[in-house]
Amino acid sequence: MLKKITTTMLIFFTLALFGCTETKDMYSFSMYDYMYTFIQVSMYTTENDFKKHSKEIESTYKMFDALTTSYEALEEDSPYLENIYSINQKINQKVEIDKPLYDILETALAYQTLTNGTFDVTLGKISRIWKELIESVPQNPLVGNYVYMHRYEQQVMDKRYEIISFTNDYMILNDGSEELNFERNKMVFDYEVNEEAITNTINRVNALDISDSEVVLTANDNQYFIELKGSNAQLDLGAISKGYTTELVQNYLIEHNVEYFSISAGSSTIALGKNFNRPNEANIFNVALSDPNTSRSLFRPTYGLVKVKNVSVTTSGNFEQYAVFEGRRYHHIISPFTKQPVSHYDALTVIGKSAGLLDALSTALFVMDENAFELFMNENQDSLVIEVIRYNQDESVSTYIKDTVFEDLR
Amino acid sequence: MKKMTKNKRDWILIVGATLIIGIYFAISTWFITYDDSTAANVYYGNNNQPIVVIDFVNEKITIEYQQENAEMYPKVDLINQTITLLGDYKVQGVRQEVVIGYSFINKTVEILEEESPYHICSNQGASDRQALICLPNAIRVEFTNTEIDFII
Repeated sequence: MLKKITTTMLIFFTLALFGCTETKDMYSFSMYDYMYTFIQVSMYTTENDFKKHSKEIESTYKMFDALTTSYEALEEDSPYLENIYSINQKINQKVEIDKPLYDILETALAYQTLTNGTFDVTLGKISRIWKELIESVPQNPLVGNYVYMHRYEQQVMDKRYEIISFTNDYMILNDGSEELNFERNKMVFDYEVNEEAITNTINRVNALDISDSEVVLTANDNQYFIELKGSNAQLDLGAISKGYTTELVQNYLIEHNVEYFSISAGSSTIALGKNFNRPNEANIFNVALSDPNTSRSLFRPTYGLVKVKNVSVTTSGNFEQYAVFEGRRYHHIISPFTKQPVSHYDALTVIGKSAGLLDALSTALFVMDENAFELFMNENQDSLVIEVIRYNQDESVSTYIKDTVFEDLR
Repeated sequence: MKKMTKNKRDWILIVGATLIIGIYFAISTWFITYDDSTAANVYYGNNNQPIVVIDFVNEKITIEYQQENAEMYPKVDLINQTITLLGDYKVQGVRQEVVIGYSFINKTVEILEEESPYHICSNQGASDRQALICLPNAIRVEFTNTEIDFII
């Protein structure tokens, strides 16, 4: 008997020892298929744990991608009750939803309250109209249309020109006084949308009354319900789903004692643990901030850098999806109060613990004017434990920083 | 007395050395410059290994592996400085080419041609640091930069 016990114990001990000696390494994997973005996750762990974690992480993104999309219905064999697309077809009806969708909606509504309605998930119809304008931006030159030239070779232009004629290599443009010949590959410019497109878009959004939009969530006995009310209410979780899901993934990795990791979800949300590759620099990550001012260089430049670890970083800006008319950028961040894109700032980066909160806040803060912004930061910066770096329209940078090191690279 | 002078000399040496090191560190942190990218890696699909490496330092293009079910790809044109891959985006059931241009002089990469609904990645222009991502084609270009871990 004793021999048996000793043998079993010896086997267990050997197994345990093997378990302990399984070496850790840096592993990463990437996903192209969820949330219309490229997602990359890196972690320092054992090969077995990496396999387990990456499977779990992929299924989390996959689930929230299916639940939160407003563009596609759930697949026929989907295990879920409803998604945002299907809820949007059932206005003024109380429908049962799954707990994960209920949870993200509940969180979104809490952020809506926190920001006094500046963050708003019921603007789907309005943002769809602006997105249509952005998608209608010409891809090719057309005689009679306008281009907005930011830069020609090394020279800053910031000027609007009418297209007179063009070849594959040249464009003849008129700045209102004279016709000039430009080499296409030296131009940093945007094709402008025409006046009709802008007027049409503004008229369409102005015609929509969104004042009666409301989301009512109810729960009882493990059943969860939503009722979307309002004549023009359409849910859009685009400004929170990526951050919220990334936060869940980040929490999962922390719970599983993964100390060194990074999750980057597109070009706007990053969640970080410690950086394994910088043991001599306190394991920080160098995160560079995109310069929204495209006229600064021929390439897409960066204006600043933060040194961070164990935080999330989120950016909102007017420089990724936009249409230009008369030099003004009409982008995808819409004010629920004016139903139009807001242009108080060019870009805004928020640093903090909760990627979901940061995602929502970067949008809400972008919409707030300077007074509302100051007021919000004075009231909430400490309790929310957030830091903000704001790139203003006059190219100055305002920082609301506590411990994070920010370097201006200009 | 003699000993004192030697001691003094030691001190001057120590203080001097400390000062020089201090000034060096101060200068290097004040005038910190984030270097050019040393290489750009082209990735296809979920493979963590780059399919093509554009080495800006040695001005060299290396094909790491061939695309599956597409024997001819990647194609490298050293004269026109382009790399052509077969993307995942299909037009009438046919996968479309993605043409990537590179410049050793500028240390930049640009997606020149690709088929996708909004041509997002070919409209991004040339980049010297920021990743270029062609989502519908499952192709991306990442830059190797020792200083910058992420760009947001």
